[in-house]
Amino acid sequence: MSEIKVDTLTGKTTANDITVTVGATATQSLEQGLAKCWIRFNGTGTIATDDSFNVSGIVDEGTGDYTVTINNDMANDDYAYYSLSSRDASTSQVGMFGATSTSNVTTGKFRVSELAGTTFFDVGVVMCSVHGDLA
Amino acid sequence: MASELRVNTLKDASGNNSVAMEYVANGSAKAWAHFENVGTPSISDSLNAASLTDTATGKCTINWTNSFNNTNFAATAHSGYIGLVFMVSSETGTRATGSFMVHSKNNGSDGDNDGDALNAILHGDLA
Repeated sequence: MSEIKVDTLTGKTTANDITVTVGATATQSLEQGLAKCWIRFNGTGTIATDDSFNVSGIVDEGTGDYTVTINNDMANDDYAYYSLSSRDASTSQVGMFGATSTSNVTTGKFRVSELAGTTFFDVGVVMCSVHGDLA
Repeated sequence: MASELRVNTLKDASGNNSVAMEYVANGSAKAWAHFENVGTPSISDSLNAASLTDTATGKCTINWTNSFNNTNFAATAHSGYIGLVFMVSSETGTRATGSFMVHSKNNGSDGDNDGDALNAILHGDLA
């Protein structure tokens, strides 16, 4: 069995471009396929992070409304982010939504909310991940 | 000529934080996109997304550069702004290896609605 011990992988031609074989023949960028940030947190009461990667903090913006602060910033605000929640607050819950305005998605933070219509709900489990380019 | 390493496992220099290449390959997203479906559909940033097709109100299809090996990929999608739309999965019968249709609906009603700042991510096997 082969094994490499290394602290940093850097592309030979371009620093952030390493190709990895991901299918029978298909290849893709290793860097682009990796999640740059993820978090699971409890959104009820005093909100608290259960586990995370590249997150410096979470902010309680009000009932069912949260900001996640990214530790190492993204390169731009065109990154793709996703969230999913538990359905433990109300049977009326619809699901998680993104930011209330473009100003709430920046290179260093994004905002997610649990609501149905105009009603917000605190939820016990919020899970988020981010794909894109780090600065 | 591009250099190539064939290896089963990666570890840090201390021998910790081991990850098998199986998890690098299978754990990496094979496609993701941040896109708009209001007005002229457009993709702001993406991996493996070739183009966006406006299928109908509230529906758009992302076409992949490299197709998936099968239609059993796992997909999630997320809408941008409160009060506009939420995302539902593609409809039965619309799954394909080379594209993925996302469907956005009004928050609080059943109507279809185009949305902006939409996101989608897919995990699975490329062909």
